[in-house]
Amino acid sequence: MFIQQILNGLAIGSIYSLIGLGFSLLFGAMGILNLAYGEFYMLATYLAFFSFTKFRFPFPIMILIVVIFLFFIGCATHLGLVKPIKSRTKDWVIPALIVTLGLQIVFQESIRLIWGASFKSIPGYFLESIHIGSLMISYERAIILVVSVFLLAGTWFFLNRTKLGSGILAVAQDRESAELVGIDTEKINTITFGISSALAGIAGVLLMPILCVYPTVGQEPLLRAFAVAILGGMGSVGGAMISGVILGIAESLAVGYISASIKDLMSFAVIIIVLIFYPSGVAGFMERLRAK
Amino acid sequence: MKSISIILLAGLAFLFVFIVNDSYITHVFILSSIYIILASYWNMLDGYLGFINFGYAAFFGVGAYASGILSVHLGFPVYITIFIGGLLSAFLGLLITIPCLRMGIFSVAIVTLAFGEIIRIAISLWRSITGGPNGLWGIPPIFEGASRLPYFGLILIILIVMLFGLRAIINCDLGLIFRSIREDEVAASAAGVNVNKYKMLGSSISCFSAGIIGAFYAHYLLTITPSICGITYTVPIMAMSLIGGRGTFLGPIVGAVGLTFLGESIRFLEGFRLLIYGLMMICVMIMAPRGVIGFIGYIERIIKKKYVC
Repeated sequence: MFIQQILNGLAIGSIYSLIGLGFSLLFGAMGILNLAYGEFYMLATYLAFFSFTKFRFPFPIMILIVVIFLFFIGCATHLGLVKPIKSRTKDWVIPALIVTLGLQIVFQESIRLIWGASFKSIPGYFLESIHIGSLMISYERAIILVVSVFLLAGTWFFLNRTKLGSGILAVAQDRESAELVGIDTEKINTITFGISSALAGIAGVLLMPILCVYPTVGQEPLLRAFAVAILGGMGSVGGAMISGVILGIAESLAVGYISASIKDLMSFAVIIIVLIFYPSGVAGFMERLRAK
Repeated sequence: MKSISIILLAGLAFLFVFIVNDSYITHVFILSSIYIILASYWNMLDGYLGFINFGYAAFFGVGAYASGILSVHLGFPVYITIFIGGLLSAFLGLLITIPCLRMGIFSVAIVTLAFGEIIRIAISLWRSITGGPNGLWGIPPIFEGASRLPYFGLILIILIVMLFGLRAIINCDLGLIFRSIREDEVAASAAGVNVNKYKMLGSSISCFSAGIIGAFYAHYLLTITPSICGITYTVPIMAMSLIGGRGTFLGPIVGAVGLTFLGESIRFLEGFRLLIYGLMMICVMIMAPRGVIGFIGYIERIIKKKYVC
């Protein structure tokens, strides 16, 4: 039972890492809190749903389509909505926050008006499960685990070993110095926005069979992204990866041993408690350990 | 000058409603009065103090539920429960402000959002007292009889008192202190302002008025559901205050009246209401970050530059 719950938590946690990573990356690189982040996830689930039911695309192609589509939506959001505000006012932080909130409402409402508020789900996406001894892991969760671990590793490699990725990290670390050494920060911002929404999109494709598809489906992932980003330390890549897994395991233990309705309250509690007692999250904790 | 015009406008509105004497029109006027107060006091936090509260509707809902529960289950008289609702909201607002004092603007946004959602979930889970997702029924009305006119009279009195209170806050030293905190916290505290104290004070005042209005709303509608604590009620309040103009006294009033009447006049587009709010929020923030009032001021300055000098 205990190990089973940990295994479930690991699968869910790895996807929380993915969601939190995109959110945290955007915050670190741009200093913007994207309240429409959950809606990128929601758009991805709709895209995946229709490409699966209408066209029967195989899984890898579905992921590819979603990634490309959401990358462009993310870039367009930055170029069309966030950049104009930045160029217009110096005090752009709150207007940008409000714009992302507006974008969230617009996406949600337009999807609701087009396809209705009903729940949609895919029957028989992956039905079988893998048995290892007494442990059981469903095919969906196994795929989630494998794909998201692979993607996390890929993102880590991209950020640390490629020129573009180092550019993103450099902008996240110190914007002015990055500009001084000749990095085009606006271009980096646009790309970061794209990558962040693509990560949300992949999470959407992976979680679609579990969470169904409906217009406000993005609220829960947004909440998890908040919790993960705060637990990991806003803007920290490693922190997001670790804290996603922590949150996932903690949640599935709480569901297994206490009750299922406590799940949502737990993310909120994590957010508030961590912010009160440990504002820099896991990243700050690691730094302190290293300093010792 | 402005204070006289507020009373005059309120009197005119009452006269108009009294003459027309239509139940629906009275309802719209009551709604816009409620929204004027909510948007104005939200703006006091965001526009003057620089403290953003994303869970504002939760304080409105707490006032409504506290007053409703006390009068339904314990049979307290309405005039007392309304104040208790306000006080409870103020207390909760104070409680959530304390951890927010050390945080940056984004963390404050997240914490208040999370707090509002916690309150909404807690109210829907606590079935035995709050009635759960089905809502609280049978709240006693303030006035006997079916007419809505006495409610409008009462809310107008509350509105005038609250707007005068807000003006007094903004125009006296307290307003100056608030603005100094918004502009630069460090500089303000260097100048001898106790930033924490004034943030807690501002937050409690703002939440107190939300609670009072929420309690009024509960005794006006006679039934409330947990959704009034959620983000769907916070968004219109924020939209009104932002579209009208952040950090101005008139902005939220213009925004609240404008958006309520716009919302009611496009009732046949009921489904599109939130979509339109969202689009307007985006457009206003991109084109005129200071809102309608800021935009008017901008045009005024251009005209003056061209023709006066």
